[in-house]
This record gives sequence, C-alpha cells and structure tokens, in this order.
Amino acid sequence: MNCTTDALSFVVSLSFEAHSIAQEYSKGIPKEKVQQVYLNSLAVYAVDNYLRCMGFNPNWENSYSRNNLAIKLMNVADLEVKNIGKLECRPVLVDQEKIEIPAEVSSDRIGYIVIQFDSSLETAKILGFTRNYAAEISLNQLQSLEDFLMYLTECEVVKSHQTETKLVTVKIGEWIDGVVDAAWEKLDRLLTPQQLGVAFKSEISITRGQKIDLGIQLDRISLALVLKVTPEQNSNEVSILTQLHPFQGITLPEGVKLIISDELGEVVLEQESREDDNWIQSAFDVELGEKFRVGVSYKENSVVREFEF
Amino acid sequence: MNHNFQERDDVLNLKLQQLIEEIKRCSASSDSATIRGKRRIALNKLVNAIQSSGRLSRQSKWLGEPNYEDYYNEALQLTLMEVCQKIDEYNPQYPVMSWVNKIFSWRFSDVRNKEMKRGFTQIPKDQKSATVLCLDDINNEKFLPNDISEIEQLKEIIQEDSEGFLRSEYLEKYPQVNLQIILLMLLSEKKWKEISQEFGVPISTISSFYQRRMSKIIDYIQKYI
Repeated sequence: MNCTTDALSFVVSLSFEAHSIAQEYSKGIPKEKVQQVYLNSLAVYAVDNYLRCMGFNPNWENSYSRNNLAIKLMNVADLEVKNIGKLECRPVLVDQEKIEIPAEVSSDRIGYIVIQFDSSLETAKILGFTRNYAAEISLNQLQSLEDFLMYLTECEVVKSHQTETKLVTVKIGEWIDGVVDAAWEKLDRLLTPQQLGVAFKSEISITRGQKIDLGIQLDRISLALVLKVTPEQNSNEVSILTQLHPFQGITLPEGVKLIISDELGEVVLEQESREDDNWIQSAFDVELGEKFRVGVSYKENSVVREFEF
Repeated sequence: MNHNFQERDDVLNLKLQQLIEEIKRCSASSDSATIRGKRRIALNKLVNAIQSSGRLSRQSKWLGEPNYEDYYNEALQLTLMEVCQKIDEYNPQYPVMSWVNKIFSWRFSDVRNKEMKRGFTQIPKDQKSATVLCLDDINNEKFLPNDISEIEQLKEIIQEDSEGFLRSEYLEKYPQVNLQIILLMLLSEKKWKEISQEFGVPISTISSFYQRRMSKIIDYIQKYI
C-alpha cells in the first residue's frame, strides 16, 4: 500500500471502450501495420483520458489519429488539445528501453508523450514526455509527468491570455480622430531609428504599433506589429498597411506569418517571412463599418487582433 | 487484527485527505500556471494513491459475471475520471475511499447495464461480448482480418491522380520527388530511410515536405473514396 516511489506516472485501464476504438481503426489496415495502428489508438485513448482527468480539454475527434485515411498514410498518434496544440502519443512495450518516433510526426507538435503497454493490453502507463522531436529517445531520458503537467499548464495559460486580448475590437476610425488606445504605441517607442527609416515615410496617416510576444521559453519571440491607416480622399475607405518587424532585432525568424482575415476568420491575405527578411507586410483597403483581423503566428503560437473602421 | 486494519485505513485516509486539501487550495481557474500546475500534480498523485491503496472495492457482488474483469476495468476508469472532475465536491466528513467506492459501484452497474443491452442487440447469445484483445490476438487474423481492399483502392486513386495534384507537388530542386511517388512508396511499406536513400535527400527534408501537405493530401484523396 505504501507507495514510496516519487516518480509520478498515470495508469489508465483499457477495456471495452478503448479496445473497440482501436479495433474500429484497425479495420482495413494491412497486417504489417495493424499492431502499430492498434497501439497508437490505445496510446491516444490513454492520454485523452489522462488529460481529461487532469482538467485539460483534448479534442481527439479533430486529430489525424481519428481519421481513417490519415492513419493509412502516416504512423500518427496525435491528440489535439484545445487552444494549446498537438501532442504526439507514442506507445512502447515493456521490454523496450528506447522509443523511435517516426519522421512524419516531427513537426507541428508541442510534445511527445510516451505510453507503456504490457502484452495483456489491459492497462496503459503514461511514463513521461519530451518537448522536442528526436528520431530515437531512451526512456530514461524522458522528462517526468510533473514537468509535463507544468509545461502543458504553462502553454494553456499563455494561450488563454492570447485569446482574451483577441476579443477587443480596436476602432481605427477613432485613430483618425486622434483617439488611440494606449495599447497601440507611437513607432519611435517600438522601432529603432534604423528600422523607422525604411519602414514609414510620413504621409497624412496615423501609424501605431504594438509589441507582440509569442510562444514560451525556447520558441519565444518578440515582434512589433505596426498598422498605418491612411484615409482615402472623397471616399468611405481607408487604406491599411500592416507590417511585422522584429522587436529589438534586425531580421525576423524564418516562418513568421502575417495573416489578414475577415470578421469570420476567413483568410484574405497571408505573408510568411523567409530567411533574413527584415519585415513582412500586407496592404489592403477597408470600408466604413468593416471589421478585419490581423493575425501573427510563429510555429504553433499565434495571436489575433481585431479591428473595425 | 481489526485494530491494525483500522489504523491502516486511518493513515491512508489522512494521506488522501491531505492531497485533496492541496488540490482544493490550488484553484483550477487560477491565473497562475504554477498554481494550476500544482493542482494537477496533486490530482495525479491522488489518483495514484487511490489505485495503489488496496482499498478499492472488488465489486464482489458481480464476481460471477462472465465479463467481470472488463466491467471492472471500464468502471474503474470512469470512476477515476469522475473523482478528478468532482474533487471539489468531496465532503471531508466521509472517508475518501468510501466516497470513491460509492461512485465505483454506480459506474459498475452503469457499465454492466450498457454492455448487457449491447450484448442482446448486437452479439449472438453464445459469444462472449468482450472485445479486449491482447498483443498476440492483434496479430491473429481470427480477431482482426487482414483486409487490404481499402489500401488497394487508395493506391489506385493515387496512381490515377485524376487532377494531377499529387504529381504537381514536388520537392524543390527535385522534380522527380513528388507526392505521388512518396505516397506509393509509403503504402508499399517503404521506410523513410529507404526513400531518403533512393532520392539522395535527407529524411527530415522529405518528411517535412510530406507533413506540411498532409491536410491537402487528405482533402484531395477523400474526394475519390
């Protein structure tokens, strides 16, 4: 009874529900791959259960591992966690000391969690995790479940702050009247003189910017999102120029995206930084009363700002 | 003897109650990731302590049932989930394990009723309704028939590539490495290593090219299934 060992694990019982899902998804899978698909399903089932016990909000239905076609094209055991990102759930058997992670799941994951099975397949033991992809990892190098819970919680808190700010619609019509929300700063506070020189020549326009922090820890980057609003003469339109600059840096990391979408989130314009880009930009016109969103994303992290003219 | 059991149960109950107090102290809706994370760690510890307590009910009333063990496991999982989700409702006047075991017997009946119903409607009477397979069963065609018709159909769709999409998407500077070829190789059980060697392109380059296009590939192929 006295369990003195400190290493945290989590054991999930696998019964009707788990096995019927695994069997359903093993149909039509050639025999060389049946074990892989079956164990992948049980592994994701176990993590889905674990996360729900721990008060997270996994969305298995929305994952490749629940797509009959995707599991035929990839060795995949992903689990989408709402508002956080994708976890990859990799099965190991008790006699294995290391785990191989297939190349086709090397990107777009917030972490890799390892689940151990014995030959009865009556229980799944969640062992530990690693944040970054490696083709092969020995089990004794995995990080603990304490670290996992802390890490995922941290991701959750960061994302929820990002979604909260998304709800505020910035009224850019008021900018033209001289009223600017304090969250949007004058550019000399945000960009270096060198950056300012190339970015914005003065016109009859209002230009404001905001510092954007994306991601946590290793993936963390800081950017300056800049909006220039120029009223068009004799018209109900304004032209908008949005730019994304590095904050206190010279070049953007590769793969930063600037996404302009409409009120419903439908993407209208999308720019992605290449190697050594100093900034990226999008220009478009907005009619009076129109809403639009400016999204900034890098790897799995993103923020969205909403505007109305 | 009885005295010892009582003492053991008291020690266990104290430990479980302390964990629950810690969980309740750390609010699930706290703004602080540290507090929320601590709550989850304590919750995980609580589940471990319950599982290893030796005081989970054996549900012996149902011991004679043919699928007793499977019912037990299914009900236990539902119970632990419920304990986690309703932990703030726990009333410390009662021993933790009494509360847990009460939930456990309710869930056991639920699972049994559900399976009985399913058994009557779907499964021939003489057959065991249990579907829990072990590792050896999985590789036994008696349980999971080897049906390759879907894979064959998939290969035909890819070979056909009616709209030419799979051929048009190729690795930069390697026009011969297109999605059609990669897909056909993967479906013929080729490993990434072999594919990489065959084309002289690193595994990471070719597999990330493939991954990035996965949702497009799925949307495209799905149209023809």
